[in-house]
Amino acid sequence: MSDEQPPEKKLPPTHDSHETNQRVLEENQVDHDQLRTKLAGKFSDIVSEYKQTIIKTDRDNVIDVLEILKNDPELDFKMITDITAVDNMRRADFDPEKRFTVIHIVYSVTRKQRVRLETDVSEASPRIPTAAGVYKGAAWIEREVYDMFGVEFEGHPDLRRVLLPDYYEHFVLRKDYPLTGRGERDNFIRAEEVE
Amino acid sequence: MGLEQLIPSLAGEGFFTTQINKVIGWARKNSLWPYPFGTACCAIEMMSTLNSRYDLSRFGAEVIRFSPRQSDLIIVSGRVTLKMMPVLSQIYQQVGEPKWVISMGACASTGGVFNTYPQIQGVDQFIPVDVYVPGCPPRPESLIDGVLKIQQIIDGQAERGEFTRPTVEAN
Repeated sequence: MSDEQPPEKKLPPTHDSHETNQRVLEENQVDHDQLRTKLAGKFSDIVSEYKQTIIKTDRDNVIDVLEILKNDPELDFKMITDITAVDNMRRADFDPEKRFTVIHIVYSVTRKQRVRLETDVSEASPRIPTAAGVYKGAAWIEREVYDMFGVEFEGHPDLRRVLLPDYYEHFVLRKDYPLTGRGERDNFIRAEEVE
Repeated sequence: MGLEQLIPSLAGEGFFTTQINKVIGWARKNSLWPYPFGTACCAIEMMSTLNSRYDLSRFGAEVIRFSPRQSDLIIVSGRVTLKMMPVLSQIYQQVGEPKWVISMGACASTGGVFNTYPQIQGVDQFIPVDVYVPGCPPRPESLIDGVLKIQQIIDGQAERGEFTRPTVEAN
């Protein structure tokens, strides 16, 4: 057993292998060339990963991109499905300038299509402008992202915690926060001792 | 008790003598008014226990009160989180004496499978618990047995703390 090599780390399948054996959903049949002309100069890349369209943009342009996606009659992405974030801390190619990736998912009800926006924010200043001016419903979702990741949304009308209690000091879905917490759950006064 | 010999009018049919504590205990144990602190799936089993199939009213504990001022038994059934623990403590204090607490299910008793930051690892850390009902979730029969254990505590057949879990020394 001693001369046995450790098993090679299995890499996740690349999106190429997914391209061959997965059907493209109707909602992902997005015209990339149309997006490229409409959003000219406001994105860094438009890619298709796992057969899903992803627009990579940055902090300065993300609101402009959302406005075009929503208000252009040919695009018509009127509905914000979700805003979430990813903590890239444990990745092999981690770069503190790209600590968090904020993801906006928008959907066009009339055209039945969905696109995703990826915006990297840095560890030193995790800030991104709010989408609440474009999509009214974004304000609630952004509060949850703030609650879990501590990403601040500049210009947000009411950026408070939404799920955790207000006194909580940490942002719990960050990778450097332990799963079992830092003793917050053990920190209550016994009821019979209060009186 | 011997009183019959001292007071002749107490002897005969229609009278018996006992202790006042036993009478009060008998009345209390057959008229428990539970407060359902149901926060998760254990609450579904608790509802089942209260419904006619298992019929907790056979044991006199069917009058569910949603006001802690009117109840004397708290059934903590389900997960209790960081945000809910102050609520449970306050409710415990609002219940008038005498009061008893059942910790129903794995989550309320130990935290269960949820060893995570918002999950209280056993409500007995912060409120006194009389009876633990094991299970995930416990079957209605288990909860009925828990209520019967509470009745034993009330009428003095069992000491308070007799049904609490054994403490494990941390090593």
